[in-house]
Amino acid sequence: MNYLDLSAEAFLLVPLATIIIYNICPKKLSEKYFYVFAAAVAIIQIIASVSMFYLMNVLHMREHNFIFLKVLGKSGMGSLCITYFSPVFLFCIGLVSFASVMIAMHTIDAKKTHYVNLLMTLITGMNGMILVKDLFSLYVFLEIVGLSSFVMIAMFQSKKGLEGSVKYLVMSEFASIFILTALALIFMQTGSLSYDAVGSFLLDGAASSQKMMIYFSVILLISAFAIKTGAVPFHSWLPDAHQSADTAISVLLSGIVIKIAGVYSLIVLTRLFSGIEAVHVTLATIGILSIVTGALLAAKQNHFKRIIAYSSVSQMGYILLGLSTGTTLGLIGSVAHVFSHAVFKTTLFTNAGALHEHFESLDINEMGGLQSRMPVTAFSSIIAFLSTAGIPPFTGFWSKLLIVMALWTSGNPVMAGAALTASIFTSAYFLRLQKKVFFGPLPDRLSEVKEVTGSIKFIEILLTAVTITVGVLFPMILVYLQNAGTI
Amino acid sequence: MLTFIGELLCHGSNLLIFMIIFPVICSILLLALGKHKAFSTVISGAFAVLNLLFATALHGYGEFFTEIPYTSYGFEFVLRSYSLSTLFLLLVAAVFSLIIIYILNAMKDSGHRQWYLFYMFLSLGMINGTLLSEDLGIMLFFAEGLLAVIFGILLLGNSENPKAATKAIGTLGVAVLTFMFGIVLTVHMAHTGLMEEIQRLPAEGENAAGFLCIMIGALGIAGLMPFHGWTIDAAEDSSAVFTAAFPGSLLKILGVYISVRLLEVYGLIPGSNAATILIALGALSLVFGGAMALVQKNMSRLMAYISTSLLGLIVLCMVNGVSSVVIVTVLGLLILLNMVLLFTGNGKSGSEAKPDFEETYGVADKVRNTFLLKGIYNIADKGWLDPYNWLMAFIGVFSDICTTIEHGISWIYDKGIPGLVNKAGTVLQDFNTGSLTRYLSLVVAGVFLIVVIFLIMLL
Amino acid sequence: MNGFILIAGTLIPLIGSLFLPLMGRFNEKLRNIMALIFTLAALICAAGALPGVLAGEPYSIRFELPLGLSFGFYGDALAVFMALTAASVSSVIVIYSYGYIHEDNQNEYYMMICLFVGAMMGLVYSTNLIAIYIFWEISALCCWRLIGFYRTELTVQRANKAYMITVFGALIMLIGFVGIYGQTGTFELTAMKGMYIPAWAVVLILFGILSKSATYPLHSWLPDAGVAPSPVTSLLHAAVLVKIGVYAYARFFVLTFKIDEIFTAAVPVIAAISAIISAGVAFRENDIKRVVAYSTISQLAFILLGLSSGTKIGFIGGLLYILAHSVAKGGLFLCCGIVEHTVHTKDIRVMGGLAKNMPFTALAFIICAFSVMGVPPLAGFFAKHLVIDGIVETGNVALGAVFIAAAVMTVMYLTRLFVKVFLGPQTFPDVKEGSPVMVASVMILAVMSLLLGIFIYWPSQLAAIAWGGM
Repeated sequence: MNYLDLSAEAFLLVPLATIIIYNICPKKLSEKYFYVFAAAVAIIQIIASVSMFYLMNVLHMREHNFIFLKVLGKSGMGSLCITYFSPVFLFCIGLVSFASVMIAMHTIDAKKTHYVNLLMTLITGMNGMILVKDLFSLYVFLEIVGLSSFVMIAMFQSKKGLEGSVKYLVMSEFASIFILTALALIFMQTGSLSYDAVGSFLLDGAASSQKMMIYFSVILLISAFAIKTGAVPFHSWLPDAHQSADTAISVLLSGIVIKIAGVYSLIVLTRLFSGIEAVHVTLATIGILSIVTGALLAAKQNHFKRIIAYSSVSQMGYILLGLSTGTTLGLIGSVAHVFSHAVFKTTLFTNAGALHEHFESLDINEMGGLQSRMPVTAFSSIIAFLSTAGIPPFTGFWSKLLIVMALWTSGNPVMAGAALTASIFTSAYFLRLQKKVFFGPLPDRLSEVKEVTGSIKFIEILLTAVTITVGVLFPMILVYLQNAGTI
Repeated sequence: MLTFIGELLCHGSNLLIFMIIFPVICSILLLALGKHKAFSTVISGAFAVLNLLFATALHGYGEFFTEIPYTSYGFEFVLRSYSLSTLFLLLVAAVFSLIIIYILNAMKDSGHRQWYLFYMFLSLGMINGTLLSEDLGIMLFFAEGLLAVIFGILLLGNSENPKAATKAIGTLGVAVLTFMFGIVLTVHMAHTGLMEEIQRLPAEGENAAGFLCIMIGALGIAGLMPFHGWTIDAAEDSSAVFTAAFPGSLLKILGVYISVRLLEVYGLIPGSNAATILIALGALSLVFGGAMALVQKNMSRLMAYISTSLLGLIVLCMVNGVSSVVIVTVLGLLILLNMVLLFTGNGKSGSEAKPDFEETYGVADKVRNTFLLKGIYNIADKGWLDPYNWLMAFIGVFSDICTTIEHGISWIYDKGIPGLVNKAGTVLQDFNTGSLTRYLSLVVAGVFLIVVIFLIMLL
Repeated sequence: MNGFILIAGTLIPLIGSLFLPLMGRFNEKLRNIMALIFTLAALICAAGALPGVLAGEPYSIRFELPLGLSFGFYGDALAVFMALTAASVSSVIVIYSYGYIHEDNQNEYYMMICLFVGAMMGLVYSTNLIAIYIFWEISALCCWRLIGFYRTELTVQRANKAYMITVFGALIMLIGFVGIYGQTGTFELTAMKGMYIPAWAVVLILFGILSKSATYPLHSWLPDAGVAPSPVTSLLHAAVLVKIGVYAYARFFVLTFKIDEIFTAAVPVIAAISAIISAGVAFRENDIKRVVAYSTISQLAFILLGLSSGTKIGFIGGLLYILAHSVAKGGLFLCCGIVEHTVHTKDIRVMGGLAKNMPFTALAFIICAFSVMGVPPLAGFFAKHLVIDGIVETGNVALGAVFIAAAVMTVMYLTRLFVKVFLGPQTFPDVKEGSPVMVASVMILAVMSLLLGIFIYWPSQLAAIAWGGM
């Protein structure tokens, strides 16, 4: 069988298979080695996505269509597709899941089996979203993702109670309502929900009333996906959800779920409806709103994870701005930022996990000068902060630069300027965080704090290494992409 | 070897360089080895004599030109000796020799002797350089170096009371920088720095500023009003030999030389604004210096005021086109007075200076108590007539204004902007209460926003 | 082939700095020596690039990249001039640090210093706007960590302020860069030589320049940064980091792009305001490092004046001023450090008579101060004279007068500082001279000021070649 098809199918098969294998294993064994199973899946995902990326560039393929399980193909179903930017998303899923597992080793004591199962369903859902070629399947997998994540938040919560998870559920349901309504409307007009059909519908010259329906459904879709992304003003659930959930889950939430469920869907949307200028303007508007609001609010928080949550809101804004350009460069910039964000946000949540060992409440006013006691955590947090703020030579800078360049060259210089200027707010809240937590005088009561050990330390170092390496080697990646014909 | 020296000497133009280099070498030697009294005596004496010989030789031989390469871009290191400069060189050499004799004799046991000799020779090199410069920039180069020398000398033995040194460097700093500005303007007008090549620039209109700056600067270095104040303080706090040497003789010689040359470069137009200002300053110096001299009881201070007064007289002569013979005579008179009083005094400064005129010269009190002048002398004693104090007051006020501006800007950065950002965050936070209904209402608002955008775009 | 010396000059300190903390764990002395070696390597490589400049064929090397990001290293006269200045002063300051820094976090300190030197080298050699931006921000990172070295509440707050102001300026500048990209399709300076860029782009880039070189109104971070250790203040905020902005001005607006005439009039005015107000504040300050900091702001305005005057003589004066000022102001701050270390206060109102306690420091101080005041034969004299020449040559006599006034103020406040600290009655009879390493460093810088003045011919020739690169 074709290697390409094999690795493509692996994305769906491996997690499902793991669930089966995992539950067959004896209870004692599966509890003890839960992380092995989960980590194995993540690593396989990483390897598969990297090889996918490499193969597709070598073969100069922009798209690879394949049928999932020949069986389904005979009945006309199961046609999937990997586009040239999908491997990046798949890689992020793998990497962040791996990080989550590493943290879970430390933080999750009870219900370990549930964690693995839920993680597998989540991964399946996300992979599925990326692979499908029609809107309804997208919706199905989106629901899988949403449900899994809700259960994970609710099940492994910090002491804050179920409040955050309930809010997330309600907002999620609203999103689902919007999507279903929109899909129904679209189906009424086009008769099919596959990407090809929907994408070509508008181009074929539709009647005015039909266009109105489409526009209305697009509005609903944007709103729904914006809720999923956590863009302003649809973002309110995000900080509470992050605060409620256990660190291993927050990592997943901010690291990939909002991006796959939200950003990827919006990418699909922009590709389908690229002719509608209003979509671009909308994305730009909520993008810039997110950047500014997220940053301003982050500066006022006192809970470590809430700061990071609002930071996510802010960074999503940049990604939306990149999408709003409608150009390839913008798309590449956004996808790069998805990657950068996955890495640095995960690092920050890992730091939260490390701090959680000593500070149950994660209140930054109780911390101070911890760099001398926790050097590895401090160092990784500095690198993550610099990457977020867009300081060279880390990955965050390059992705932001690409987005800004795309904005400018597509005729939107004001937005480009605004985006860069707003970056200063990112620096502001992070400087405050650094000052309160790491970079200051060490109070006596904290002189016994020890550095975190084991898997959390490992993942911190790994992620920091990724940030630095990819950042420094980014020009080479650009050369590679140019040779592959992508830019 | 002899032929080499002979050749070196025969190339008269090298003499110009020697006149600058040799004193500097001497000063370095004195710095290194001057502790040995015998050594310093011999060396100083030798170099002083050498300097005198060179000056005489140059005066006899006529005109020489030389240019030293390897200087900064924008400066032409051209030296020239001709009748005027050699005359002044000779004058300087003579004065210098007298000073050295005095120091070697009267300061035999002083711990500062080595330092005085060092500074004197260093300044000799600079003064020779100034007199020999043909290029205005180089003239400034040599003249400004005296700032450091004077500061150094005034601090000898005075480090606990640096008032005189501070005032000196402050006043001279202003004078020198004015001089610099004048030079820059002159070079800008004339497109060259070589004085010989400058076409006679009329000192009016746009040239007036340059002319005034350069003249006032040069004369300020010499000690004309309003740059005279530091000489009085120096007379008070420093030794008599300093007062006699620098403000008394050498600086005056320098100032007069530069002024005479500049009056060749510029064509002074009688009755123009520039001429009027110079006349005013000269007259002011003459009168004020004389008036203050009458009431001094202290020898050094008396000399300082007399020097100021006579400089004023010289300036009046120069501006009115009086023949240079007269000018040089007055200058000579001034120097003579300084030297006489130096050699007959006891060499101490301040209140210990002798002769003390309290007993021998009751005129001072009579003049001071004269009805009309009493008030003026009182004001003068309080320092209210001292332009340096006015300058300091002005700088003080200006600095306070600047500090206020600076506080304002700092406030903006430290409290203003962060406060604004904080406010914005607080406002947003109020929107973001924890209730679910609030969240949903924000969602609705968001949908509404998107609808509005679509409507705007599609219509 | 020859371009590799430029790469070496950048990468040795840059990459080497990352190994310093590792070395520091084993052997502190080794780490200190290696820090100095890395900095000296940068100096040697810069000197090695000199023959190319003098022969008229600067060393260069170029890497192709998409999206207009092709960058390279180009060792022309301006770059080599800046590199030599920066590297030499940095080496002396590293030596000084041996005697000064005794607290914790020394690993991070030396790493950041070396990283900064590498970033500076990279910045002056780079030919690509984005590469310059990258090194610019790396230097901001180093600045942030180094100012907060003592890890107190106040120092971290000041470090954050410095970071915010300079990064804000840099971000605005980046907008300008992207704007240039939008217009020309490339970020490469060598490709854009002689091109005209519109006024809005110049204004945006000026934000970055003014913030980095502490010019009004973006200067507020510099005096506050005095809470850093003295070698940090000397290196970053007197000698090297603040020269990045004026270097960028020279590189962009004199040697590469054509800009509107109005800037030749406007920028000197901004410089004049900066010079005169900061001089006024310096006269009233009572913290020894703040006085010198405001002096730096004032002198940077002189440099900016020289470079922006649009004349050859002004440009050369500006470059010479960069050289003279780096050495002299660096020396002044190091002297402040010695004073601070021995009397444990920064308030000049309680100091006095320290010339008796520490004669060598006092001597070095006064020599460096004279250089800043512009007293011959020190290097500062030529620089100041040429800069004033430059502005008067454009016909703008009034601005020349303002700068003369600023020069008068310079004499005033520096004399005031020297008198208050070193002269007058002794207030600390028991203190002694600083450690030999520290005193030797300041004496080296003082002697350098003097030698640079006497042998001013060679730097001025290099500067003249730099102008020729137009």
